[in-house]
Amino acid sequence: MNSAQLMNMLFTTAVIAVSTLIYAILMRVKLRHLPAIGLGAGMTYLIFALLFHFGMSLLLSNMVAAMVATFYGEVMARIFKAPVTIYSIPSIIPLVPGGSLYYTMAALVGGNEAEFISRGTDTVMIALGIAIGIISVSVIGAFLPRPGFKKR
Amino acid sequence: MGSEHTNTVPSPTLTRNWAPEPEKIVSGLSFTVDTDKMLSLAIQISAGMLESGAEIHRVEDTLSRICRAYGAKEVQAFSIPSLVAATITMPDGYHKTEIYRVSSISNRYDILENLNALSRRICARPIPLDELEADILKAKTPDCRPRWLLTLCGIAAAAGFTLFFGGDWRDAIAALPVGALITLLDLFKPKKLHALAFTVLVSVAAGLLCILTYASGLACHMDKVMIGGIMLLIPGLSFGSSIRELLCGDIIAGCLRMIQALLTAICIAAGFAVAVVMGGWF
Repeated sequence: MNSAQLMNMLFTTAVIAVSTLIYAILMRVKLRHLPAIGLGAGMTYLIFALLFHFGMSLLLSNMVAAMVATFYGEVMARIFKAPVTIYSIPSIIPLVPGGSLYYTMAALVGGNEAEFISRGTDTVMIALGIAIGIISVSVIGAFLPRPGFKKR
Repeated sequence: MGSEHTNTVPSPTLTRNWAPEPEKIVSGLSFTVDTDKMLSLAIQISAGMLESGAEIHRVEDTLSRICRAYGAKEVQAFSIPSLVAATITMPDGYHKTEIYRVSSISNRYDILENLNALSRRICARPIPLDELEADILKAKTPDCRPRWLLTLCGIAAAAGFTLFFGGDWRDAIAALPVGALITLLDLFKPKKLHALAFTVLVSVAAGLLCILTYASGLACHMDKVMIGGIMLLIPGLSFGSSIRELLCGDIIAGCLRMIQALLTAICIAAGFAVAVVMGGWF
């Protein structure tokens, strides 16, 4: 990786961290959570971008990034004593396949069947990777202790 | 004759087999608890959490914890994304069922957090129901976030997502009106409108606006601007949480949410496709 690529990647990371943070305001997240959400989104994207750059498949790199994001959400929710959703949903936003969904749709409208299949496969792969990532961590997270509630 | 028929309603004592007094002193609490009101308040809290984006597991858990804290011996709580229901049994055998229909779910994480904190607080130390009612009202009052600020956020987020997906600064500027359109339509959405139909309408409008910015020469890449708009619409769909619910044992809720997420994605794609097709006519 040369320095231009690295700068580009870091710039994109900064952009998605800020965008996610702003989007979180739209989701009415309280102000005290915003720094951690921005950090989580940036981290998620950086992990995905690095893994993908060094030759990991689309499915696997999304999976690992989603795992990290979900784990981060579980940890932050326990630190800030807030519902997990507040952290885990925004942290996944950088992985959401908005781009490939658009190109799939555009290929379908344009009648480009080969393009449609390859873009559609990408979209499904990304969604599947995110799903597996979330599953593997949140199943474990369900067994972790939840502070704040007394055991009954 | 007619007047006799109006008097044939059976007296309530004949149809009930429990002690008819509504006020009960629950052991361990220093105040009396009206069981019926307690159940309806507990359902208000958990349904409020569901409406503002909580997972099903959290909704059911909160509901049964609150009822137990107020002295219920047994709680059967059930929830799917459009319904919250619970049957409670008190130590004296009195039982009651209440059902709450949830009509729309939106991401209101401030309300979710307030209600979650409230439920934790009252589970640790139950408070009288009048106070609880006032606290619920306070928790459901959203943070003061004016509409112009939210609109600005929508505008900035659309531009940010456009940049993220590889657009240049001119595309980001072109995404500004698209973000404004989507956020304003969402803020002033009529309550009665069908959610999916609304998604299609917003997508068509946003798509046409994207084509307009491209045709007027403002944007260099129409696709990047469109993706910026799509990203604003997409995260509202709950694909991630549907997976989580499926795997945590809430199969019905997970399936319903997943179908809804897929339908929303299809509606967004269809809306933008219509816009692209319409753009081809000009």
